[in-house]
Amino acid sequence: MTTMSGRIVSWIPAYLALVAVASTASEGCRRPAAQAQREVGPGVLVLRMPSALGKMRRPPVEFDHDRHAAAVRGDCKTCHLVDRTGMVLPKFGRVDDGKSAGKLMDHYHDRCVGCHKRRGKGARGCGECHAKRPRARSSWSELRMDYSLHARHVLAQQKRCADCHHVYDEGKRQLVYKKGAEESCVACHTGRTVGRRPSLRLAAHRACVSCHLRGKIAGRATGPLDCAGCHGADRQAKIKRLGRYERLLRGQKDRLWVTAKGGKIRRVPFDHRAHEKTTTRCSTCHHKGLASCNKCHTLVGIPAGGGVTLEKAYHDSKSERSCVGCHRKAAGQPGCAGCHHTQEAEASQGSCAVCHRGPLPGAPLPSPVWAPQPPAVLPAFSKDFPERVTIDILARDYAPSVMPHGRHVRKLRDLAGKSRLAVRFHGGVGALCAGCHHHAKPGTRPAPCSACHTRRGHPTRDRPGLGAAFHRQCIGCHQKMGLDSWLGCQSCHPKAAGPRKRGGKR
Amino acid sequence: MSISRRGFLGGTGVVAGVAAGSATARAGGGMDRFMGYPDAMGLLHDTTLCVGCRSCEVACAKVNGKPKPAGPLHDKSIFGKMRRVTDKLYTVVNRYVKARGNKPAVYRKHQCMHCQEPCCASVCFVKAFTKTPEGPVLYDPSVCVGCRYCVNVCPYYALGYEYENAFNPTVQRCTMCYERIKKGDQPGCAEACPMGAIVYGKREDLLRLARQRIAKFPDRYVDQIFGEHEYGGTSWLTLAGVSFDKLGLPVNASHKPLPELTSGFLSVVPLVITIYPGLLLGFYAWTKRKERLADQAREAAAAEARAAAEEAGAAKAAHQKKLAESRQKKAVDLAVKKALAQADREREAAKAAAAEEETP
Repeated sequence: MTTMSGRIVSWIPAYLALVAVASTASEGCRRPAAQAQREVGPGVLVLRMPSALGKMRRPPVEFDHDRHAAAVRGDCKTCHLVDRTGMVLPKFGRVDDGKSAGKLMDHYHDRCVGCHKRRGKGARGCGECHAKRPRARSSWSELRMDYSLHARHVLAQQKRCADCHHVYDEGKRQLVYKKGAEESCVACHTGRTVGRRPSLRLAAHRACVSCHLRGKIAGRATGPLDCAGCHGADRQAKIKRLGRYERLLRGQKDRLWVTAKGGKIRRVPFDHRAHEKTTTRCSTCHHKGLASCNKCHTLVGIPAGGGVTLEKAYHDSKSERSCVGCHRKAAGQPGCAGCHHTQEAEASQGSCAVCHRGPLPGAPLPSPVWAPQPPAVLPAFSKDFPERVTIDILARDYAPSVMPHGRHVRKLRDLAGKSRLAVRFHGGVGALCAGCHHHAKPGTRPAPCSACHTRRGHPTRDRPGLGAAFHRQCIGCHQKMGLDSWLGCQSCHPKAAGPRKRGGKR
Repeated sequence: MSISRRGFLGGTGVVAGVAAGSATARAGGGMDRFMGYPDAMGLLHDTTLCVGCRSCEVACAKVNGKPKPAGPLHDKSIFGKMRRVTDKLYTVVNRYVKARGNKPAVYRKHQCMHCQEPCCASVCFVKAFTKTPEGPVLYDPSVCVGCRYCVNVCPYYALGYEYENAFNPTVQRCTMCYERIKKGDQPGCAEACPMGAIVYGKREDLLRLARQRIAKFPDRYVDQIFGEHEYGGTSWLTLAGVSFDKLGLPVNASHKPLPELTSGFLSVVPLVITIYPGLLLGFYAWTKRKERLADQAREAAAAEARAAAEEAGAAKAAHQKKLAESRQKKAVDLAVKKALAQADREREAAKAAAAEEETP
């Protein structure tokens, strides 16, 4: 009898384990849906014990800063300390975290619960703040200081650059303003606080929020003070944009020769001014401060540039900051992608000279000009340059397709004429032809498609048969140009007049 | 000695485990799986080129003598819902991602993948499925018993079954146009594809071609050829511009052939079938014999005891008898003695009386 009951007892843990596994498995199935639903606003902070002090026994607290700020009517001093200059300190009613987890816990409990009790509002029980919640996604979005926003700050501060821009003076051991050395914040303020240099997050909140607060106290129209004002995507979209603003000048040249110390290839003329207009902020290219590329990226790669060589910095096709990557992205726009989507990732031979068109290093440098190409002039329509092309070589189930060759060329010419990039890179009418007539010498009559694309093709050599070559070329281009013209076979092939004939006209 | 049911099952489990272990160890040495027949053919479906025209469905139906697929080809409403492979539709094109801006819709053609190590063949107990050296997995309806294990086990849900056929239903699925490729033709779908999105050729060449395309256009393709290794590899290879899980294919598919999951166990089955009856009968006979011997011994002991008891009884009786006899003899002697003494006394008394009479 004893042995029987003993046996049942020994099975109980196994049974419980099984139940636990089953319940976690079913929970695992449910979780993604809940995860997708829950999103918290940009003002929601997750408060947890600093890892250096230990772990919390209860779940971390989701704290809605905007809601609390509204509850105290924007009076920051209710919760935050203020220093001599009137600047609000970022920590909650204290200068630093201290060294004891218990003291920090008491600090929060006393101040939060005390205030809730005094006001007779807000959470009281432990679980109301320390609630176990499914993982949430924050709608927080980064605010970018673009040309327009910068210009609005310049106007508001009456061109007092020193209000925001500073450098650290080693001799005086303080922050000073240095004209001509203005930098973007990220040049010094990185992801974490180093010594006395605060992290970007801390520095931005100290400087921006304090200034906005001072403005509010002085009764001026000023920037937002709540989290969502800067970090809510919907509120960001409502930030007023200036139609016209002054060009940002910090000693950059309008046009220059791209040079590399020790470089052996021909130099590249670069129109800095024209590139400024293609973007909304300097950091599109100058991702870490406003220094020139070759300051951190050298021919061999140094730690300052993360080991990225100058060659890669300019040519990495995957990066959106590099010349090639950004131009590639531009070529992916619907107007360009029709032809450009067939371009391989690896640069073709001879493509170096497209940009490297200047003198060799050491030679005297003329003015760095990259003039637009003369507009493409279409030749008169003739047998060699037909207005219409009838494609009947494979007509079987359908009547021959009449391709309006002239209309296509004109459309491409107009599109290319409108693009600032295309007018500088497309050399005349030849580039337009090459979009379809690949491998043909520009400006000459191309060989017919059937010269290379045989009926069956060489599928495993990636040379499709004639039918597939036509369809890929036409449909691929129409798709990439965003033309929803793939409505079926008959949008290009009219129905055969007579009854369908299999293997008919070839 | 006695053996409990638990102990017995435990012991045989160890035997089976050792056998299974040796099977796995054998598979682990050297080349761990079948890499496909040399010069086997295959097909490559490039989903970035597919435009969802369904010409392949039409060609497939025509080649296999099946009814024409539903709806006019230009009618895109058919893609509103996912269709699956049936006995009348060997191949089916589904739309997995809708078109947005200049990003075209993504379609994928589905059919039997012709696995290198097919599950359908591994579960079929009448061996109706064969992986041919040319690539296709062929099905022999003449031996099929209609258990439909193959239909249920296929990881791609690519087998159709003639549920409407009451008398002689068979499994219906893509044959990779075996008859056509034997003659040197292309499969019907590959020939019909107007975009060249389906390429037929040697599987090795197709893998090389697919790698070439990924290298040339790294932005266009996901860096994976589905079917190169997935579940041990398939004859149909798929290239995609979006993650494969969006295309209804397992995204982290094991590279292990699925039949391997059961081969260890199944390899033990014949062993169990041959050994178990003998083993069990042996145990039975052994137990029975043991019981019989025990019975015999018990009986012998009983008989012996009985004999001993009898013997002891007899001795005791003899002893008693002797004792009784001696007691009786003693009593008789005593009585005789007593009688003699009495007689002596009477004689003395008479003598005395006589003397007294004489004397007066």
